[in-house]
Amino acid sequence: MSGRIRTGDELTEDQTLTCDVCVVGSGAGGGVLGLELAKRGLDVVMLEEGGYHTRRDFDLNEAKAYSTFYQEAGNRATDDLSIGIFQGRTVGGGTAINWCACFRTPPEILERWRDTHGVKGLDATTLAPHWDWLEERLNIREWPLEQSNRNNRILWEGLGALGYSRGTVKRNVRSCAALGTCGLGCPTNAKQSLLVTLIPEAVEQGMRLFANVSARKLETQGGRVVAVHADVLNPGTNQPTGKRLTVKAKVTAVCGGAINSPGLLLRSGLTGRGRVGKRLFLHPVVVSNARFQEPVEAYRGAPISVYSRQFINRGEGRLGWLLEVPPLLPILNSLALTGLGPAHQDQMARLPYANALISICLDGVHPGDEGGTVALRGEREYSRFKVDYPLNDFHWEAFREALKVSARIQFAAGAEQVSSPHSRPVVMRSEKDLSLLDDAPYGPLQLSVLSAHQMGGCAMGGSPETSVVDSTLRYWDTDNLFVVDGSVFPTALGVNPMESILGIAHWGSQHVAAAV
Amino acid sequence: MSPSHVGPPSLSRRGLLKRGVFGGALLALGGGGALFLREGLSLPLPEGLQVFGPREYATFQAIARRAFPPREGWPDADTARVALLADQVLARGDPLVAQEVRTVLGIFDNALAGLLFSGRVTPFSRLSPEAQDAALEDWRTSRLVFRRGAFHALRSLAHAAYYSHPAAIAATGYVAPQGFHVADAPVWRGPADGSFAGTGGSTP
Repeated sequence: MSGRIRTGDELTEDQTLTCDVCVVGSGAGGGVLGLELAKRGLDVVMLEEGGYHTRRDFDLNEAKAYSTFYQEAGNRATDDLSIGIFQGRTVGGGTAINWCACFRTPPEILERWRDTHGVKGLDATTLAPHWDWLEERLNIREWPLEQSNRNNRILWEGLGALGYSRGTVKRNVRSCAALGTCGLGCPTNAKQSLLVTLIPEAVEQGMRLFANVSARKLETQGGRVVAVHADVLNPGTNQPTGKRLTVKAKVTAVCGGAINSPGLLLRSGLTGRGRVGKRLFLHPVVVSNARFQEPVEAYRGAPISVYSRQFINRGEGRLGWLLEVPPLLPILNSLALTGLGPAHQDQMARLPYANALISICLDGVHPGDEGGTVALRGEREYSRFKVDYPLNDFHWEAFREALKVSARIQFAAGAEQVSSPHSRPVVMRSEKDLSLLDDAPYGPLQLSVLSAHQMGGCAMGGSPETSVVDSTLRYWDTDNLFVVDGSVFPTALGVNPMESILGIAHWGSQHVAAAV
Repeated sequence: MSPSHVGPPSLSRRGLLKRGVFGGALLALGGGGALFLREGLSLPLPEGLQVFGPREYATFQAIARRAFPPREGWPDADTARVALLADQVLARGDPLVAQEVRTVLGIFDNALAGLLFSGRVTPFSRLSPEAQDAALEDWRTSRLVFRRGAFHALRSLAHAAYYSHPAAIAATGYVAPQGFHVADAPVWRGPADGSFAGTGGSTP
């Protein structure tokens, strides 16, 4: 079998392909799975809705990057627009445009999946050899504190001054020049994304990858998927060209990520007894913006190299969070800041002196926290799903406390001013102003909330009554259908999810292969 | 405290967009037609508009002028051609999103909607700068999630467009790393192109 990456402009005729496994999606789940299957000698066809973008395209143009490499041209959001959602849409998926933070799944999360959700045979010991292999292959290594940029060192110093726990982050890079632009695609191929590692290796092993191809429907007969029906997209316009690709595979693996995977299943009439699209978790994020007297240049250097899980567990019924910093490129910073007009401009004019802390909330682990939902929208909708994520007092309490903690850390590190992400920012000039956060309004679109990590929607579990896939990632009601991506997580993680998805895909590939 | 996910009732973005259009039409039939049809600002149209019509273009540019007033060392909204850049951003995305933004801009500028929401009878784009700021503030602080969402969407689009302009980027003090992008880097598509050699960073 001759492997090759083809793009929409090359697909000028309707085609029907046969293969052993059709992998829908080329991100952290699909990319790993594709290689593992190809290494076993299986004939793999991979479909990717996004384009095939390489270092040639990664020209550090922020506006182009968001509109080209992200879902819905960077505009994905919940239906009421209260949570902006950043998610990759390109060959390599999120691994091509994320900020390179690598964490193994926290053991207590895997224990929760076992004890609360009935997941069997998936613990830290089982996953360890898979993570070991991935960390070696993707060069996942600790990023030394001495190489951290000022933005991360502010977090480190603030945490230290207040006696909070802190750690350094592992990154999947090789000979990294620390440009700070990981979110725009790596122009030097230093980032060991699947785009430049496992996917090319899989293609060398014979995998056929079709970019600009949008899987529209899984056709089922007698409890089995018999075909994947896909549209070819114009790489320039993202609109369907009218050409179709049909893949008839022995086994199909849906790897489109949380939101798109449940969306494809729903579009195919596969509702998982009403569970598909439920328990969507977004790691909702609030951003605390600070200004320092000395230059921070938060747009340079490794974006994330320091973290704290000091507040991840605040007791039952209280949402906890992970603390990190984001890179502050102009557009991203303009969106992270709230307000309009001269006040907003004042803050943008001080961009080199800006620091921000992000509180990434661990959703899905408290009683009654069912997260959000993914559903279909109207017939005319092509790329958008209806994503709902109700925010309520449970979240507002955590966001308020997280903003207080962040401001405290920023002041401890020397900030001269901290502003909140309220639509009219709460501006604080010292720790004694923290109480202003208590008086601010908390409601949808009164406080800016973002998501860069999407999980769930096709939850794994011990029963078809409560989950979508079983503990081998197989869709409960269809013999030859698997879901292999972050959508199978029964809860969020409380850490950046890439390495968890990679590890579970590597582990899960044995089950997919066995089904061929 | 456990989450209940029971919040105040709010109408969906799509539902409200529909209500905005249909509600406006019904009110027009009921006697508000003169206000519904009241003309907004007219601006010369740049070449290359793909999404915005004349009215949406003028409304968006009017919002941009309040978002990016003249400031030394910075391009103003007209220099940065914010509405044109926003039009280009929308043209690259889902056509239905573009249509929704057009609808929102129509409601935003519409005099009848202004009367219903806040008692003003002049299209947004024809208001004084101070009155425009007040109207924007009214949308930002509205008790209706839809109006807050519309403010948020238009504000985000304006900021994304403005800060894609080279002069605005330069004014922030940001300088993109130079010399790392290779515009003619080979694109590997498979073994027929030789072995993949793209792994590992390179520093010029």
